[in-house]
Amino acid sequence: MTPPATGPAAGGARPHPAAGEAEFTVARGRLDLWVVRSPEGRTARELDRSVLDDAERRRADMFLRPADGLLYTAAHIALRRLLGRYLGVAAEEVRFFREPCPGCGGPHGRPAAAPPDPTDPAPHFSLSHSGGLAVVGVAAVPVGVDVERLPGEETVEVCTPALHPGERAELAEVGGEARRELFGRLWTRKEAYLKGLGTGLGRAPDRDYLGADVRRHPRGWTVLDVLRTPTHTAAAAVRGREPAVVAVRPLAETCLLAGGEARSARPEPAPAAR
Amino acid sequence: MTANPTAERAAHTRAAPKAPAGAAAPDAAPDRGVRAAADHQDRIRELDAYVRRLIGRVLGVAPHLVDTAGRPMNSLGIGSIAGLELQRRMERDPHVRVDLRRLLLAGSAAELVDCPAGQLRGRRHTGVDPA
Repeated sequence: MTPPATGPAAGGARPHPAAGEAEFTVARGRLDLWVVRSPEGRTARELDRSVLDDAERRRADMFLRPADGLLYTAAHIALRRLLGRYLGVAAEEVRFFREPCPGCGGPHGRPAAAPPDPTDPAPHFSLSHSGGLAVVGVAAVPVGVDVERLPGEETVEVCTPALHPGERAELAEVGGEARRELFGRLWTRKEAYLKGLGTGLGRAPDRDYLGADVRRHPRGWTVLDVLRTPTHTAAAAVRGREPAVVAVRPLAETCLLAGGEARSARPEPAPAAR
Repeated sequence: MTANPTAERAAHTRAAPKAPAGAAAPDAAPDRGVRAAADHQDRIRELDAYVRRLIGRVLGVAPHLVDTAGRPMNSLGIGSIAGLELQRRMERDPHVRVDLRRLLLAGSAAELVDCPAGQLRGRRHTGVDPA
């Protein structure tokens, strides 16, 4: 599967009244992915925490490693600014809630953002951050995204037995760097799918096959490798068919500062194909 | 992870030993025979040091820097892969089972201490291995 980097919105487009731009339009057949890098220098010092709520600010201050807290803060400012653009509301006015858990119906399913007009459909979104990189996915259908820093060889060794037998077999065929990279891809596909599903890791990691043979992937879902760098890998899962447009874009760093607005920085290089 | 004596754990974690880095093999599970013989406080203290070593190893920080009482697991920096690694290493003890989602959502690493402590206590009291 080779998702296009960008392209025209597919059929069923629903232009947002406030956004008025294709890049902030939630449309069927379109998946938007925004890449946020951990800020440095002035941006890191001047992050606009005022858009976060009390719980988010408390959480940002609790991280053991300052770099984790910085990435969390940047990712959540970005999420609010992005969803604010899609919803046509100020970032600090974005209201989050939890959808019902698909397993038990309790209020701990996928996070969701309430539209200002309750009769409007809410855009689906997913956020993931790891090791200096965050990804926000926005779509008209349930979506899950996951980004991970590539694990070390020993971690791969310890964790591989938890995967699906078919995935373990594929990992057994490669070694060294390729094995770390493949584990990262398998895991991000799996976690993206489980986040999209709403179960998260409450569903055993060995239950679903997300390996190279897409015909064996969970039915009713499309899982895409959306980013691959020497240090990270990321995947997205959307309910239904493969989106006609998968737009992977870096978020402008100014979005994280006071008065900033969500917008794309420069065009992101085309994502790596599976 | 099982529900457990919070007060007992809290009292313990305040007095948590500052285990020197590298004092024991990072993923060496406490010996079961030793655990069975030790009294409950000693066993929890041992498990606390064990969990600190594991988390320190996964995060690349010294065990004594791991705050087992005051931070949720995700604030410690435990993401999904690190959580899976932690779960797998803890479950090398055949009598310990850790739910991955609950591990990742744990309010503190001290809940991980409660987990095997509770499972071992349950086994001693009932004669049935809860794993």
